[in-house]
Amino acid sequence: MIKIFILNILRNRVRTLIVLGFSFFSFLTCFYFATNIINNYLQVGQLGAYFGESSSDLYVLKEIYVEDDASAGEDINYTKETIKSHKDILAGGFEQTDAGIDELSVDWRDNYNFIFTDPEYLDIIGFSVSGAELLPFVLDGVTYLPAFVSGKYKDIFEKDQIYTIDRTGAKIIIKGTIENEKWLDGFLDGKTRVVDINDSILVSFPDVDKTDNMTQLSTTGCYYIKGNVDASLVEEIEKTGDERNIKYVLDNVGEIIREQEARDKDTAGFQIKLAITVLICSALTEIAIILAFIFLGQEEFGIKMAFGNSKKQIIAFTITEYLSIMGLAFILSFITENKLISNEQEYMRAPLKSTFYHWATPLVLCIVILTTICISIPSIIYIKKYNPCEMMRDVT
Amino acid sequence: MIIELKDVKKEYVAGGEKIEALKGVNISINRGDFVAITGSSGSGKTTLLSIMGCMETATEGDVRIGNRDVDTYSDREKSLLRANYISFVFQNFALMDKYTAYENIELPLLNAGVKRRERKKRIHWAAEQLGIKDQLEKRPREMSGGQQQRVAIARALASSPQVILADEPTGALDVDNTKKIMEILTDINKCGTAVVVVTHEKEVAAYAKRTIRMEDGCIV
Repeated sequence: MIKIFILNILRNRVRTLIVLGFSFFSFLTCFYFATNIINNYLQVGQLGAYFGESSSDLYVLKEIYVEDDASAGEDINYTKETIKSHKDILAGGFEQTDAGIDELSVDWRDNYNFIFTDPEYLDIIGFSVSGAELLPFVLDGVTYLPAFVSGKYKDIFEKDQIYTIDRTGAKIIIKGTIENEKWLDGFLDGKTRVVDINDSILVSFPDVDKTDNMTQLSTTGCYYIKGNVDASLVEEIEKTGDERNIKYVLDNVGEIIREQEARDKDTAGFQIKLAITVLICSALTEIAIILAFIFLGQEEFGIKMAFGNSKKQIIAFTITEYLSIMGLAFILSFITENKLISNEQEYMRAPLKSTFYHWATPLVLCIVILTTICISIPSIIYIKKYNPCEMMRDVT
Repeated sequence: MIIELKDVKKEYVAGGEKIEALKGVNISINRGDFVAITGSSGSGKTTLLSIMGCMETATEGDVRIGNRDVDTYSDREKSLLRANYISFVFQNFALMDKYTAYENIELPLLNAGVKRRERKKRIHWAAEQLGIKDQLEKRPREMSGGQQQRVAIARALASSPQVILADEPTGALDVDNTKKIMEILTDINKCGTAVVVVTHEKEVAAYAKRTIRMEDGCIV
């Protein structure tokens, strides 16, 4: 039986290749769109969950023009200090960067991932470590920054040990670990992702960074203000900017997320329509090709029935044959999509792969089964109606 | 008794019109029989053959194969009958173009569940009987009509059936090949296999031990 089945696939290779090609293309389209659509949906959901209910009264400060880069550190810090002076406001930002550790780094390439943050930021997002736990303290005239390390660094850094950041000379003291925590990947805009921080050291900004140009320029776009953000505060922020020749804008986080959701929805709508069109067109083409081949080779059914195959067996063969071709197309499209994701930028790879494996693959598998059923039905009807005696009547 | 038909009727509906293809046919095929069924076109001889081979069911009457009523056979059992009890030879050879002669002969053996080694043995034996041992790797289109019909007979013979039902087996062959094919069928019959040949050629019918003439769905 297996021999007949394999021979049939090999002997009908033109049909097999055409059907395989169309199926591969349509499944790849489904994989690509399903991964992107679901990933966008999940990530907007994660973004909402990351900021929690506070997103509607949460604003992000962005600088859109800086006249003097040399004094930008002090100028931006001046604005931040003004914002912080409001007692009913909670404000803070962060910067993700690499830095060496004097006690551990062998050379300048030996860096560790740091998340420098204002302690207040942790209270805004509701992190497992509170802002108070990250507040610096002074001992014997030396300022120590409490730090928390995540998964990958757990075995490298020892609890209550003191380490020195090579760039600033700041002393950090390891106070604990953080597990399975999420963080915002960079500036909040249409492409922002919430990522796992399994290889980071969380610590507050050293004093020297508070007026450092590069650091401060990096934090605008990642600086969040929560609380009573009214017209007077906006005016005050603009005023501090005018004084230092910096132009700021304040965007509502809730609105950014909603806009992103709307954009994703539009894109998803278009992609779903396109995927369905491709799928239907290719399924119809496959049905036409299969039926044409069946019609051309209908005598083969008669011969097989005359020499010991039942109709049920032939139908089972046919379905198994289509299922094998579809299965092969599925595997090929799976490998191709996997390769495409591997070529994506590193920060995109993990969430895309996760969505691809956990969501897109089962979904496309269902589509494969559905497509197989759809393309099998016309063939089954045709075979069921076929009378093997046609073969005999043709010639007598 | 290999095949027995009692008062078998067959009706078709074609173009809204009822056609009586068989009108109460009685026939029995015994071990070692060589029967020729003759008659004009449309007399019902091919319908009779397809009912004998379980390719079609009778509208009325009893059909017994291997001393058992065919109505009691399941579809799978009927398929197995066609794989190793009854074999067909057709006028147009009914070979699958995409398969080699070897693979065509192998088809009923595969369906009968014959093991690989035994299949090979039987195919080579049948090919030797038919003188086509050197043609086994060829596809039907690479062979002459006579060679193709030999492959078809080898396929029928390889499963060692009780009966071979041949529907105009020489209809597409010239005089020389007709003679050779009928001699092969006679030899097969001499070995004990029953042969039923549907033909409208007197020369072909002359090889049979018994001739049945059909007219308008009846044996006359």
